[in-house]
Amino acid sequence: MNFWIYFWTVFFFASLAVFAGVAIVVS
Amino acid sequence: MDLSAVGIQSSFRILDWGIVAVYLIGIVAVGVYIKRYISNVTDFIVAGRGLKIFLGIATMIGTELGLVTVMYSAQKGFTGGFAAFHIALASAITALVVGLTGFIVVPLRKMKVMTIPEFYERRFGHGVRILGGTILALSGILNMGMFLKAGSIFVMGITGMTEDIHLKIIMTALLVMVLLYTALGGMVSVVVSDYIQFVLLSVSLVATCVLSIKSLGWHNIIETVSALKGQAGFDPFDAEGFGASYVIWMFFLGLVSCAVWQTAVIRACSMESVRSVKRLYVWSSVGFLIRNLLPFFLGISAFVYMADDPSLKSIFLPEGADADPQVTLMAMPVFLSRLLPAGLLGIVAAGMLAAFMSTHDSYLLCWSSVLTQDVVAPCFKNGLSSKARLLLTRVFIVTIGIFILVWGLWYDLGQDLWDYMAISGAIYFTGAIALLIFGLYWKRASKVGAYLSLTSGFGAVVGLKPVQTALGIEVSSAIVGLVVIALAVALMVAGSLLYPDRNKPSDYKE
Repeated sequence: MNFWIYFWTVFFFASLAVFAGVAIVVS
Repeated sequence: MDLSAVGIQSSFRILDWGIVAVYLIGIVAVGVYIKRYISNVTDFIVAGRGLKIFLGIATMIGTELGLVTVMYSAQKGFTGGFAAFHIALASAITALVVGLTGFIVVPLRKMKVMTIPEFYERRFGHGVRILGGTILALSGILNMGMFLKAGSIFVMGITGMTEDIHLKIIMTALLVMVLLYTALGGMVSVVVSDYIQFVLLSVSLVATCVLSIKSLGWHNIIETVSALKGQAGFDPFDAEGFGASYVIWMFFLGLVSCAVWQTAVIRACSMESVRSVKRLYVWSSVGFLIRNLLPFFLGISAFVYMADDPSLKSIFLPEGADADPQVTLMAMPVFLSRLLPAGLLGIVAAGMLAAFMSTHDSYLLCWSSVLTQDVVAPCFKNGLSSKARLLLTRVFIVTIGIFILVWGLWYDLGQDLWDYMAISGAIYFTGAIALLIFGLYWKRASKVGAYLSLTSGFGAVVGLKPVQTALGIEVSSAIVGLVVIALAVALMVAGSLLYPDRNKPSDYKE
């Protein structure tokens, strides 16, 4: 289970950061 | 379910109502203002020919972020935990692969078709177009059958108007608003209002996620999901949760969302070149990822919030049983109404309602156009006059509107909204996948194979909970979907080999 906790944590924050960046540039 | 009776109050205030009213009137006014300038331009579709790149991306992601998407994704996050993230990952990967390879969308763009039934006619003939168009419209209308209810549950949850009578009043009011909006011409493709929507929804979604983490604490979120859902809350392959068959089913759904669903195909086919089609899909993989991922997280946050509050826990997480799907759908908006301060709550509600009207408007137009252009018009030898087409489209729009009001009030969902939408859409897309892949990449695919494959899609209705109850069976909707896809492929191959076409349709060129 630890693998999935780390995986989804990294995945979520990386996606949030990428989207925030894309949203700022596109806006 | 009257939440106010157990002392649960929303922080939705007069200020928020004012923001919603001003924003909705404003966004429609912007559209009407712009339309004054552009009423003579009729052959341009959004994200299409010559649209500047930033506006193109904003429009594309903005149209993917509808209220219904946010609602069904939040519910899936609430019921599935972090493991639901695999759905967002699957749709992003498939959109990226389609973008890099051009699978399905590039050959369609090269054929210069604008709708799937048009492809059916070009590749398999007139009869397949009529049958395919009928199935597409039926499946699409059934698929949007719960839109009105989902939108109304959002309004109920966020405003605190949670009595049963409120559902009927809000559903009727929303339908009237959508029909008025459509009658104004719809803002489906006015890029300026799409841009405003993109900025508002992006900022409010990211801000809401950050506020959720700040309010609940990341470690608390992880620990609560771990304590209440165990391994299944994180591992998508865990048999107690989603399971391997569901993950495979989600990859098919990812492909369908970006390359087979009618609204996506229109966008792909309206691009100026093959290169821009691929570029659009590579960029849109971010949109396909985010449109599910952030609402999943809001659903997980709602789950943790409900688990920490005894009065809410008894309603949303009853001991020893699963809560009714209508209750779990309301979890995210109730959570937002308790998390967000007045003002920000109004901005989020306004953005979501504007997105709801825009999505509803474009789907009403989409399915009524399919019925008019692909089902009724081809039945007349000399076609239909433009006046008759317009009248017919309007009649279909109002009829579909009334249908989804009645369907939303009477249909007993019995399963997560996402699973309902996947299965109702599968009536169309299981056959469509076979026709598209074999029709585009296998010269021997024949008309008989196409008829058999399309018809097999009706088997997907077995995945709907009320149908399973009536039949006295219990099967995962993912298993039903995968079996029907396998059946559609097998029938396409067998039908084509046993009954090959003697002549190709006259205007089809390899």
